[in-house]
Amino acid sequence: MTATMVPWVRRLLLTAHVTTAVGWTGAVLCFLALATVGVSSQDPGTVRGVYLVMEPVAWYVLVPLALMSLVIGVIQSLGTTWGLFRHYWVLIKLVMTVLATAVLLMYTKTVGVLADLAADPGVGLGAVRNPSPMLHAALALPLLLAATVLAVYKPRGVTGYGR
Amino acid sequence: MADTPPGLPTWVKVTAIITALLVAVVVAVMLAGGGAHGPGQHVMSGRLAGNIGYGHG
Repeated sequence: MTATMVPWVRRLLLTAHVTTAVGWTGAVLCFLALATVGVSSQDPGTVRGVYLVMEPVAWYVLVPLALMSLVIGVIQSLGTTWGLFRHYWVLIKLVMTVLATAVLLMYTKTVGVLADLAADPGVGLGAVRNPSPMLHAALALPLLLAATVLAVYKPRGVTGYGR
Repeated sequence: MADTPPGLPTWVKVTAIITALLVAVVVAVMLAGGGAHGPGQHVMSGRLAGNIGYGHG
């Protein structure tokens, strides 16, 4: 399915897609910075604050940007000659984005648990600290950067569907 | 794009190999951790333990 978009709509969607995708990467970098502070800071208030703020960051920044990037990217591909399944770079980028979004959505549960622990003064700092957010952000970053590289370089290769 | 030769392009093959290796490493690390992949593996002591589910983490 390929429809032709009028140029201004195509440019608007491209702008929205680039903004949300790059914004997602930036938000993951910020999340990684927070997570690093969470495992390294010696100040109890800072450590608890970091894990508390991760939850709204995940729900109000990461998840919306991820979903918008995915949805806009799909609409964009269907409205241009690239298509969604015609070129390997589009297909691989789609798989990467779906995977990253799915892991992010599942991970919000963990972030919520960590925030609950941080909010409870009865829980010791050792139980509040957790390397999991740092690990997940560190894994997400190269994935998102790879997706950006694919979008910029658009390496050749047409799928069987696209021939 | 019409001049693309049939079959998987080299960059796709390289990407597939790297992805497979990374997935194998991640699975190995998860298995080495006892398979308990979630916040509960770190925080199952204390009074919050009853409220902690095994989400992805």
